[in-house]
Amino acid sequence: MPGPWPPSRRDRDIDDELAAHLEMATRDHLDRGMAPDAAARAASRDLGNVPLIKQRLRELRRWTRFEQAFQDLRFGTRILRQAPGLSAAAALLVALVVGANTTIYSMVNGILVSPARAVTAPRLVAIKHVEPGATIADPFVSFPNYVDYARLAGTLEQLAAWSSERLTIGSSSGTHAVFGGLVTANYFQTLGVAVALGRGPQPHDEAAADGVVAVISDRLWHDRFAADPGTVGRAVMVNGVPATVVGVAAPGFAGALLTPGEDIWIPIESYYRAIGSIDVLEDRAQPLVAMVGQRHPGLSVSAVRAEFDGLVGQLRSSYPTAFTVNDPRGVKPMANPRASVSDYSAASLLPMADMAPTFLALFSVVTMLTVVIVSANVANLMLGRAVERQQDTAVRLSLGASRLRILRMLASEGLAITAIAWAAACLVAWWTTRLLLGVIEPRAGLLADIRPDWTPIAYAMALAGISTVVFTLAPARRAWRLPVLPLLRRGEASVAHGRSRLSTGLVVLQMALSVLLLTMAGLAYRSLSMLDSGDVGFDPGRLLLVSVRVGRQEAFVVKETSPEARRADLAMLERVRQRIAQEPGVQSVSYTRRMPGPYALEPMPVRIADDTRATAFVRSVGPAYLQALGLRPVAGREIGEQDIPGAPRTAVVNQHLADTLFAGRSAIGQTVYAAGDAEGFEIVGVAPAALVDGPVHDRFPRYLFVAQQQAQPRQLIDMTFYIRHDRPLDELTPRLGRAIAEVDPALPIVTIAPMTARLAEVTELQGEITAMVFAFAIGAFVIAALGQYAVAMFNMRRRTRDLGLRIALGASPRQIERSIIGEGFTLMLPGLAIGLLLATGLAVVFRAVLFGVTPVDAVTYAGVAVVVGAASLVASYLPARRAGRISVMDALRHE
Amino acid sequence: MPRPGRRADSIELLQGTLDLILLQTLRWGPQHGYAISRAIDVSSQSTFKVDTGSLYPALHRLEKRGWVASEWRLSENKQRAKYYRLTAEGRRQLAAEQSRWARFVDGMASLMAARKGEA
Repeated sequence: MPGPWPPSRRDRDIDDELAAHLEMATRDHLDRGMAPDAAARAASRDLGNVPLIKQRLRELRRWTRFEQAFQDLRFGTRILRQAPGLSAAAALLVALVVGANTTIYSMVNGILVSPARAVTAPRLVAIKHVEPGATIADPFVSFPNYVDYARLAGTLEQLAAWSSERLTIGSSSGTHAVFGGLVTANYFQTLGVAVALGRGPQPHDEAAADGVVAVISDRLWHDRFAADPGTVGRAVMVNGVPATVVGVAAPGFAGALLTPGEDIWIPIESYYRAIGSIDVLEDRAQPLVAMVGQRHPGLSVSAVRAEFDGLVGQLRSSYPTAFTVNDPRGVKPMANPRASVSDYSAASLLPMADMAPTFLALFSVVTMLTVVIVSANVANLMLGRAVERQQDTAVRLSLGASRLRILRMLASEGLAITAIAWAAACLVAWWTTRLLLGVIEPRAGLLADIRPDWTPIAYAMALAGISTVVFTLAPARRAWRLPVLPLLRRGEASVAHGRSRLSTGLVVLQMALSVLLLTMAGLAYRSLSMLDSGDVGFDPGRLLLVSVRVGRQEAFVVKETSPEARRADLAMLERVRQRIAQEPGVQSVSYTRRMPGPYALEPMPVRIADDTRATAFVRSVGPAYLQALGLRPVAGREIGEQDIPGAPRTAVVNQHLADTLFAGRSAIGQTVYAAGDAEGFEIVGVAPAALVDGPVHDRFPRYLFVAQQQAQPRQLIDMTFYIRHDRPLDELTPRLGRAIAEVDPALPIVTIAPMTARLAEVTELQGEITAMVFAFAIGAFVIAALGQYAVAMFNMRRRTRDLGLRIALGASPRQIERSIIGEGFTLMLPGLAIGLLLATGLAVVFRAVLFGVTPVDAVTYAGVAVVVGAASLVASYLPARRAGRISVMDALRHE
Repeated sequence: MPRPGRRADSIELLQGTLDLILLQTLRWGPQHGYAISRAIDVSSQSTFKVDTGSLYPALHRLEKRGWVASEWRLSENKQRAKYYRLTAEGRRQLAAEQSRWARFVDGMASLMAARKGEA
């Protein structure tokens, strides 16, 4: 048949050959004296039906070339259509596993190899010192060492360095604590980070004597400067140093590394000069800056590494003490430093980059294992069918199909399943990657560019493809040596004896794992549904939380302060509270250290005079705390302004604690002791039951509120003001910043967030984790159920003749069914038991994050048992029903 | 297919013998399709008429199996034609077919002789 495609060379060949034939025949007739048109007619009559001949010739060629491949493929898809459930099951198994593996690999790999946002320069390398044999995660080198490297390195076009510091920025909208980078002047240029507004730091900025220049992040510009184009040129205070904003970095840029997320960048030398600590930059033994350089085009990372190894040796001979590292106990000399040079990514120079090879190695083992497990399941499915088809194969062989052709048909069936699985795996990977991104993204937008990585899909699918074909061919291998006659005679199924113990173990293992995951998911879900339906007991609307950083902090270290300084901090806190209370729109204001968040909290032991004991969360709070939450004491009064140091120590208990400690008696006037506190508190009031930390722990938390001003003078870190307001936040927030700065210009604001947002965060994370665990649990469950189905089917088919015999001997179909289902349950029960035991163990470990659900939550456990039991029932019912319908004659026919 | 009426004394080829005839014809050297059909016509004294509709598919099939090879050349009349020639494998095949044919003919002959004796 003429195809839709243009004539090929071979088609023209056929035309030419027949034309030549016609011409030669015509010439012959002419030679014999025929008239020209009579000769032509005779010749064409001799030739016959030309289109028909052409078609036969074309068919001949197409048949041999394409037809067989096409037939194989058609055979593969026909089998898929004949047994859609089984084929879908096989494809689904492979897709789930390959998809999940791909997702994990993509995420990890994405984090490990992606540059930080807005970093665009090519050929960047991260350089640090390492000491062979020592686990040093600290990448910092001293500034003089950096200067020498930058001067001497010939393999690099540029070498930039920076040091991340906690900085406070004071502006007209208040003082804020952020992370900032103290950077070399070529920092932006080396990283290829654009400065969207204004300019980046220039070499001459380093020499500036009058204050420093600063580039701020796009985020800071929006949050603190209302995206005002006039921000460039604005004067701000950075750690007490006057600075001029000269630029706003490209949107998304928050430093070269994943953490800590910087918001302001200042030339390093001018900064240290301005704070009078330029000697820090001259100390060759002080690890200080991280380095990223740009290779010359055409030079490899190993060329850079070779040069830096030389440079390290060179510097060491000039400055024997120059190589040091930060250690928990202080700066330590390095015995045998080497240069480590690697491709730059946002994770390079962070400890996670050092763990990456281990993780990826582990991960590839896990991938391999899961793919093998799934392939074994697929193999069981296939084997079951192969048993059924053994006779069919024998018939084909006897009809003259070549053994190779049969192998090819079986393989094409495996490949057809793999192809479908591949497409499904891509979908699964795409979907789970998106889902995971939403859950683990450490900072908004940071990983937005991560897409499923198709390398692992190709790798895993190759694995799956190979194993599918291998497992399809395993039965086919027998077909190769198949003696035709015995199989034609009796339908005995004799493949793969001895496989079943392994398969059984596999099924039990998978069952246990899926029960474990299902139980965890069930507990998480139960807990979550209680969170969502739970009322926190106070009105979270129109409640603003403003955290400030009290206490003196430098870099990451909180410095111990004297009791006097702490008392001064407390007094300052109280002054700020009173100042905020005067702002129009503020109805009431208090403070405490905590704000609701997704933390696991541990209660403390408390007791009363008669030694009744309980555990409770102890909270130090400022005056009018309950009022700020919108609550009134149910008895007595709450902590007020009168509860100052020197006055009698007072406390408020919540209703649950009062019930526990006093069991109906009045709590007012009683004394309560907190853990390790010799001096008690007099209870002056009872607070209503409210989940002031959000629904994080127990549904009926016991609280002991004591006066912050009277609490043991402990080190203060961050304190949070609870501000109940009746004005819009846009208008109120800047005024609050100014009010706080008015009391103490050096008091930095860390976060500003409405209570509703904090509460949402508490449940958000748990919700996402629950969704993920559920997804994985369902995946594992489907795999386990299919695995059981495959094994049950395989066993049933292998024993067709036995079963037929039993029926012949008088067993009813019902008895046969029952015995097969019974076998299914003996597979399922150990799996269920092991899984539930493991789940209980794990749930006890994680009980702190389960809200209102005990680790042995009967509803969850019963639910999981019912679901798994039902699935197991279905998985063994299908083969059982078929076994019950075995016809005695069919089973025994050829005996 | 033989054309009834046109050459009444020609008989239809026995299934499978066309291949043997073609290989046999090509034994003397490369030939194009038309020459092959003429040669069969002539050397079988017009007993066999090989139809073009069978000839070319058969030639192409032999080529596919590697028993003959083909190339385009100019004929003695300076006309472009596709010439077929025996390959080494084709020669081996021809030898095998010939001995089988001989056995077949012997078998048929003695069978016929036996029939006559019986009668």
